[in-house]
Amino acid sequence: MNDTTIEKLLFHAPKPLASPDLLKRLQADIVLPNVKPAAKAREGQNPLRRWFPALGFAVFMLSCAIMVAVQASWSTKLKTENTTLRATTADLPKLREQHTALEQAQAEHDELVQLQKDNAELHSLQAEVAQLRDLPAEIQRLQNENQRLATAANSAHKSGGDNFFDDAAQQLADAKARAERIQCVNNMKQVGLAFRIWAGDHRDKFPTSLVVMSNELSTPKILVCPSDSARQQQYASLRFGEFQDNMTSYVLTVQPDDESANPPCIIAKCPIHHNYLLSDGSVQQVNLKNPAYREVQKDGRWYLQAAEPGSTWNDAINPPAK
Amino acid sequence: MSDAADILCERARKGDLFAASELVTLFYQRIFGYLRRLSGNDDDAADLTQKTFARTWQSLESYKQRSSFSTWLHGIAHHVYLDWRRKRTLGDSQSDEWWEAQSDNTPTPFENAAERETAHQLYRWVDELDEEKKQTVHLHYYQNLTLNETADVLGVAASTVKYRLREALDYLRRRSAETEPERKVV
Repeated sequence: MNDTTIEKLLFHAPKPLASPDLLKRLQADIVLPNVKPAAKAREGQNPLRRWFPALGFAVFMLSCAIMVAVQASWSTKLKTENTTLRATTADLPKLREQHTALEQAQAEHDELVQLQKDNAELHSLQAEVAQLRDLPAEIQRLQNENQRLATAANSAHKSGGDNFFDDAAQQLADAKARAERIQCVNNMKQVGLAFRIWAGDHRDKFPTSLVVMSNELSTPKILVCPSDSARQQQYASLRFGEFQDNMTSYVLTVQPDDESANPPCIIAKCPIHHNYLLSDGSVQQVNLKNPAYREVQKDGRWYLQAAEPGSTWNDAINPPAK
Repeated sequence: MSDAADILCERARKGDLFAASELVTLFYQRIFGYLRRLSGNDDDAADLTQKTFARTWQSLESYKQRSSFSTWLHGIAHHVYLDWRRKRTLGDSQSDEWWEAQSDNTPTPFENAAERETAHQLYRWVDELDEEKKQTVHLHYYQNLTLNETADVLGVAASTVKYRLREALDYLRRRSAETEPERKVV
């Protein structure tokens, strides 16, 4: 048998027949639970629910009636107001005339006030004009005085003004020179300190070059005299990597073993200011007009020696033969 | 019939006894036949049919019409049968004589005695199936329910119904193949 045959046979399986008694029994056994007659069901309902349509319509009608009543009330009130206003406006033309008259009076009053203001302004202008009339004479007087003062100033300048300015310039130049000399001394003191620090690290031997002790110097600027304007422009702003010994303003007279020299010898000098850096780190200033020291060379070293009183700088450098 | 049954059901829910009586008239033969094939005797089938309709009236309020009334009624009958089967051990069901008597008493499309004999044999093999497959075959083939209706009654997916039917057909075909040589020999 194939599937079709099997299905055909199964679909047409014999159908058992029930006895007619069964139908009667089943019909007799029908009990429909929760069945309520229509009237009872209606009784069981909430009365509000039952009367809801009528109540809803009644409420709607009532609300409509209330709205109509309110509108009628408003309408009556508006009519009354309208009547009152009409009665009030009976005198309107007369009131308008009064209003026009009042406006004219107000305009005249404003015009009067404006005229008063104009009058006051006119008076103030007249006073101002009177003042201005006196002004040309005052101007002429001031011009004359100014001319007289200018003439007096010119004559005073011609008589002694140049000396005054020359003196001031001279004093300024002197002050600048003093400041530069002091700055030079300061530079040489720093250089001397660097010499002594370097010697402390190198068995009391002084360097014969400024560049080798660059670690002990704060900046190459201190190796250039502030009065040496040419070197200041060229070398003062250089770094130690670019700086050479021949770029310094100071003349080195140092010997490798100068640290232990006694008395202290000269290790550097400024040819501009004649400041001398000695091996003990001190700096001596020599006044060219009245020198207290003179340079002396001994055993290849240079020393400062007390000069004779009254001698000049040339005498100090080249003492007269005795 | 389904629409008519649903209308009658709706009227019965509102308390119409006549509609409930009409529903009984429409369905009692089908339900009796279904339960008769499963239970194995007329008395039990009649009792189960009564229980089925009694439970139907009790549950009528809870009927949500998600399925047709016929499907819902078959579902109740199915559960009534399962309850009954749980309470007692089912002995042998239909005997060969019963099937033969049914075939003799009811109109069938069988043309000759050999075909009728084959059909009897087939119905006996159906009773040999396990309970799930047997229920599926009864509902789909004997009760003429669709696949979806059968699935609703059994509470399974339609695909499960298809699978069970396929398994049942395979079994019946195998049994048929086993017996055919014997017939040829006879």
